[in-house]
Amino acid sequence: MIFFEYLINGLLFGATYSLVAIGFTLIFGVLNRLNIAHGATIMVAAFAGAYVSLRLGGKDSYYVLAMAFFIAVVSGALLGILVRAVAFAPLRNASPLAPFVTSAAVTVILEEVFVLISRRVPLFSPEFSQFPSPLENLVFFVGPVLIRGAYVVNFIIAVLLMVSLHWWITQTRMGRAIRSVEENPTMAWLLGINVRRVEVTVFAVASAIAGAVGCLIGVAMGTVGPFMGANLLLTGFVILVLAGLGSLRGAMVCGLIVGVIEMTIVGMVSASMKEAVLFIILFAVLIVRPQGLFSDPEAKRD
Amino acid sequence: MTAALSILELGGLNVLLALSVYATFKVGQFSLAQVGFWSIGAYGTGILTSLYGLPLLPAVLLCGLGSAVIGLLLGYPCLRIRGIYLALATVAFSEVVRVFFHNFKFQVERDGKLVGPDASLGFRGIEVLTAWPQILCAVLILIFVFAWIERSRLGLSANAVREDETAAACAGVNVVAIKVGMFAFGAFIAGMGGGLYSTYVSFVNSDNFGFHLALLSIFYVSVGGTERFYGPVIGALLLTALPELLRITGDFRMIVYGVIVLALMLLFPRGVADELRLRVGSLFRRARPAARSGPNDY
Repeated sequence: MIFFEYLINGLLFGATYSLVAIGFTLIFGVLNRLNIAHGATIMVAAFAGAYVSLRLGGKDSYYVLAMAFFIAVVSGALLGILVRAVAFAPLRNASPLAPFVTSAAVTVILEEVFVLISRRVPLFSPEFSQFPSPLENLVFFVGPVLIRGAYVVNFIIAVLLMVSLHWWITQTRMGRAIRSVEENPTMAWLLGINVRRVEVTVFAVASAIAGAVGCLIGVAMGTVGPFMGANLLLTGFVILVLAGLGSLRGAMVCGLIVGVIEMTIVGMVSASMKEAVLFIILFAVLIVRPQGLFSDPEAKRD
Repeated sequence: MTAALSILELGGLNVLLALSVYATFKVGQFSLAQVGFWSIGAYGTGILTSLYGLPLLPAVLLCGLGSAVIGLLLGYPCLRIRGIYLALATVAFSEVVRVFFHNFKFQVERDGKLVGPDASLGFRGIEVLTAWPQILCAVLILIFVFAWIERSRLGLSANAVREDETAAACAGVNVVAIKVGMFAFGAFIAGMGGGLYSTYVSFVNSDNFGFHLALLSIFYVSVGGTERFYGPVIGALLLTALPELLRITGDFRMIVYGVIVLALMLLFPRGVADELRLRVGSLFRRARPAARSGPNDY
């Protein structure tokens, strides 16, 4: 029975992980570069949401919570555009190592800035700051299974985001442009697609999703901290590899799988083992099936 | 004076880390596993010297060899994957090693008190055996070895593998041996460097060997330059000295550090040493040499 509880909560929480990986994979698909600053974007957006919630007394108002979510999404999008302008755009023709390093440097900068902010701004506290929300103590039972309200809300929002993203990618003009740039940037450019605009849009959307993730995780955990992004980034890596780089549908499914695995290990073994198990799985998948579990056979780029 | 010396000592240790990353870069592999080998070396040497009373040199060499063997075991399956996948697989390795040492408890009573790794509390009280002479020796020997490799057939083959594996294989280069060999060599350097590190600082904690250190090790190499061996050396020394010079900026130190890394990368996308070499070189030669890229398939 206890495993059933891990399964349900893992599935519900895993949807947030799916979002992390989707944002990651969108940017990777278009630029063919990893955005190391993705985790830091999540963290900054979580702080933005927490600020709104702390300032306006979000402890018992769903209205404030919605506003915090909105602010987190917007700040994520803006930060994403900034990260692209600083770390990716100037290095278009450099070796792929360069944007890796610049986005990692941006991560270091953002983390340290928020270490300072959480120490200096009296609203926040060092190490971990509160993210008050009315969902904090909401739990209910389905039969004997305990389910946290925050997880349910997270799951619903995550699924809504994923569905609308899927619609956007497959049905709209912009989505088609994005997919064609993923396929072949030069060809897309020759056919009159504004690659720069596609890049900026993808960065904004992926980072807006990161912003949403920041708010969702902040609410689920009840706290935000300057280094919360690093762990999420690594979890995002795992999902990305399981799914196969650039596979949106795979990222959605694998996020749920990782959520369940994590909940089960934290519940049954210990919290510190969860990373080890996840990374052993990642390693095994890379050796046995390097293209990932969900990617198309021919989807290989280098 | 002692402050300047300790900066140089730390710089030397970071040079070792940077060179171990460079060894894998040399064959176009983008590895973040060096941190894992570094912590294996750090814990291993700490245990061998403080718990079993081994002298420094055999302990460090043993740990280097141990890391090299693990590097062989890791490098062989990793031949199948390249670029970004290799980076992620090696991150996975480093994280598994970190979690292992995070839960690793192995204590022995010596002189009436317990010494040894104490899981998440870290490994306290490692005998201090390393100072500047040992570090200087290690750095000089490695620089000598790399300078020799650069001029030897081995270096040429490594360059060929980095530029184009298929072409190198066609020209008769044993790609598998070169790639796995350089990977194991990088692991050897990291294991040795880790050993010197732990016997220098006398306290290690698994939390210090995380993803953050992996990023720093990549910073050293890419800020310095990935094409010649002196690139990582310059990068590591530069990025070790910078935070110390920035002490006056107080709390903003690490922020300024990040900004400087970012700025250096934007100004010198190929690394300070390589970019300067090319620019200075082009003053004397008319034509600019053709552009070469680093590990470029991820």
